[in-house]
Amino acid sequence: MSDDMTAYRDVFLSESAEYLQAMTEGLLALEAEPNDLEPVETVFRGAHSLKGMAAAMGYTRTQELTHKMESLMDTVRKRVQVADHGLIDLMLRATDTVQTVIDDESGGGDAVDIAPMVAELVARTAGASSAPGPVTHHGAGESARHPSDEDGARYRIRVSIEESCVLKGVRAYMTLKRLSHMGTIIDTTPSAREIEDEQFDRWFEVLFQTTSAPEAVRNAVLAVTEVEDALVERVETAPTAPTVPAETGAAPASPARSVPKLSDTQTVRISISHLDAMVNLVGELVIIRSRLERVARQSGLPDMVDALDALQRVSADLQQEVMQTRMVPVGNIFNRFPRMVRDLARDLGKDVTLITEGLDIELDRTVLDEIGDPIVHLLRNCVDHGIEAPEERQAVGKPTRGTVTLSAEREREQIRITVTDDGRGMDVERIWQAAVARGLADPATRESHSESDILLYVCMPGFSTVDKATRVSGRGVGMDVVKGKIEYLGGSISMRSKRGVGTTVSLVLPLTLAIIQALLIAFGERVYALPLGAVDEVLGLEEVNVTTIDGRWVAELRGGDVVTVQHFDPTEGLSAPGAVAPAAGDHLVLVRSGEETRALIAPSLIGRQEIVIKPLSRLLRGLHGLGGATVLGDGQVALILDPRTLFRTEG
Amino acid sequence: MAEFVSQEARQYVLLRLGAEEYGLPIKRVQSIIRYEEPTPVPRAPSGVEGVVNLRGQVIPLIDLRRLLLGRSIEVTPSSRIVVVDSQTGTVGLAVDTVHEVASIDPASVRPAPVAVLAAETGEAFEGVAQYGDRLVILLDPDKALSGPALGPSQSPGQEDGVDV
Repeated sequence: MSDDMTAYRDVFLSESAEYLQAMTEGLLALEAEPNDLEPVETVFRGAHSLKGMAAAMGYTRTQELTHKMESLMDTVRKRVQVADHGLIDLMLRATDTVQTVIDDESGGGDAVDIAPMVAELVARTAGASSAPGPVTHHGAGESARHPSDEDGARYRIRVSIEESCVLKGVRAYMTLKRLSHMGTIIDTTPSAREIEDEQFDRWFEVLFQTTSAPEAVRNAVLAVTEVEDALVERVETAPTAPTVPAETGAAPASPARSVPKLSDTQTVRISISHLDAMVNLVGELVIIRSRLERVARQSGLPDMVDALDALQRVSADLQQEVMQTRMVPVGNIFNRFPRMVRDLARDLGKDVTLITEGLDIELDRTVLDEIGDPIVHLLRNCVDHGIEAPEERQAVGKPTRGTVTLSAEREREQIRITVTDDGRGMDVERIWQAAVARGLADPATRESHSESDILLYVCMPGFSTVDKATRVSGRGVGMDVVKGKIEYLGGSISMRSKRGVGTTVSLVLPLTLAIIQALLIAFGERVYALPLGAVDEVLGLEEVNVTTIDGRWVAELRGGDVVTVQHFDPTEGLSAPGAVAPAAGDHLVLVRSGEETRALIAPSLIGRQEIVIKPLSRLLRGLHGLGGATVLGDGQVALILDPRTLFRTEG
Repeated sequence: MAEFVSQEARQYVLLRLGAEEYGLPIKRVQSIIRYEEPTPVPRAPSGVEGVVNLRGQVIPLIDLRRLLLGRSIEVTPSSRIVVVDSQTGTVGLAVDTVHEVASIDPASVRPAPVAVLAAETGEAFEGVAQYGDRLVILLDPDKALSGPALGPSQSPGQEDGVDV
């Protein structure tokens, strides 16, 4: 394959994935609202566009399959039959097959047999015509609608390539590609694959539908190097004749709303490794800039200070842009889930709708790639264990259809992802007793455990075996993996549940793993960085009332809240909570960690700074309270305190 | 190591820990920098002195002399940090001095005499080689860095005793 074609293949792959996604969404929408014609159009157009694109690529099996899907959807579109569950199922499975075939064909393979799926689609399409479903009265008028009015005209283009041309296949390919930008390629003679394989003599023919003028089409074709001539001839479109596949293929080529046209996509695909390298380089730039700033301050040269101001602005913008390139809307992965939830619910004989919210919230690609699996897990738990069977729901007066909500929202430098179901909920006391029975919890400490703390016992490895015995259902399965993953990403997990009402699991994750705002604190001669996202307030000792309760040092805040005073030693790490009193001149930094807030003693505050997070070596991973390291302007290393695990030293 | 069968002379960075001379395979040495005071890391494994800044990368520093011989290096102007690639990632090894790069004929390498090596650190050596009139102990960086002193200081989830 030439470079050109490889590039086109990549474009094809990403675009086809978008179309398939749009079709899946359309099918699900149609299932929910079988009389809505809009999703029908979306699916129909998706299949149609895929067919054209596949033809241009010479992916004949994809082309044939999508063609049959298009024909089937056409019967729905014309109200010859209704989109019942069987049809939706078939179309969803066909969508999966298309993906498999695309993977196969784009990899040059020949392994996937589409015949069975094609047969099913044809049978269903034919079944519709022989035994029509409920046809509405205006259905007939709809089917007689002449498509070419709004779709432009149809042309037969005969393209001849110069005799001296060495790369006929490539030129032909470029021609098809160019045409696909202007309209829809309906058919070619010989087939697109044969054309690409140079199995033609001097010329080939394209059946083409477009709204562009014939001269424009001709000029576009002639603009391809080594094209000798192009004959463009208008073809009259026959009135719709459903038995001839090529004719039903005359789809409205009006610009699709939900699926972008090939030429409209103003994006480049770039490998993650390039982005990572850019982020690292920008990180270095930020460090060098702070170093220069120090030098400038010491030297006191006004010109240099000015120049540095400019550098500061430019590098801040650059950094923002680079970070932005890595941000991806959560919709990219959330959109996969409605289908998954639907299939799972059907398998289990349940009726579940998934509502997704906050799809446009953006998250660093590295974070997003990692959270897909944990979310799948949480959703499975909801459908499998949370939502009751329809009869059971009815018996307790709930709507038979269960609802699972997956939402994303932004909170400062973090993102909160919540999975909520309206199912049977979990029994906090039962879980607590099970934890005690397994020796995981000390019965005497019941009072100091929050509801979320107790529910999180289901995240302990193997806890679910206990669940079964106590009929709290297998909600623990795999939750240890979920919790581990979230914590590995520097996030935290919390749970809420009410018996009979439902369960909510919240994941709080950092937006990005690379650059953050931090408060620099000096403990003796050691500087530590504390992510600003977790800092609620910085207080002077005179602003609070420091006292002891039960021998523990606490600070009473102005609002009346009482928080534990926390001492940190740069060599020893965290002291026991409330064990050490603040000294004169210290500040108290209110740090939030999960549900808890403590007043961290800060002997000396250096200030707020943007820092680049450097991961710690594997030798140092897993140390509680440390989230990485950063290099300060003077080249010194500062360790980053991780608020999420900072206070986790208690048994 | 697999390439050990090659009959070609292999190159080693020779360094000194106290009176003894050691060799590290040059292929594994990323760079050699002047010694700098590490930033200590609370509750790090006992073998890790802290972290240092290697051109923007933060790497752990291990005192090789303390790791192998139980006594810390004495910091002098000739102290160096040898940056090596190991299975546990890039690490810095603090040594008393680095003095030359030597080609050592694999044929001259003998197994290290077990009796002279502490059982705990014996694993770390590829063998002993004759170089000129000196004996050089050849180190396997991966094995040298997999000892218990570099394991987790406390296994996660089992911390206790701080609760009041």
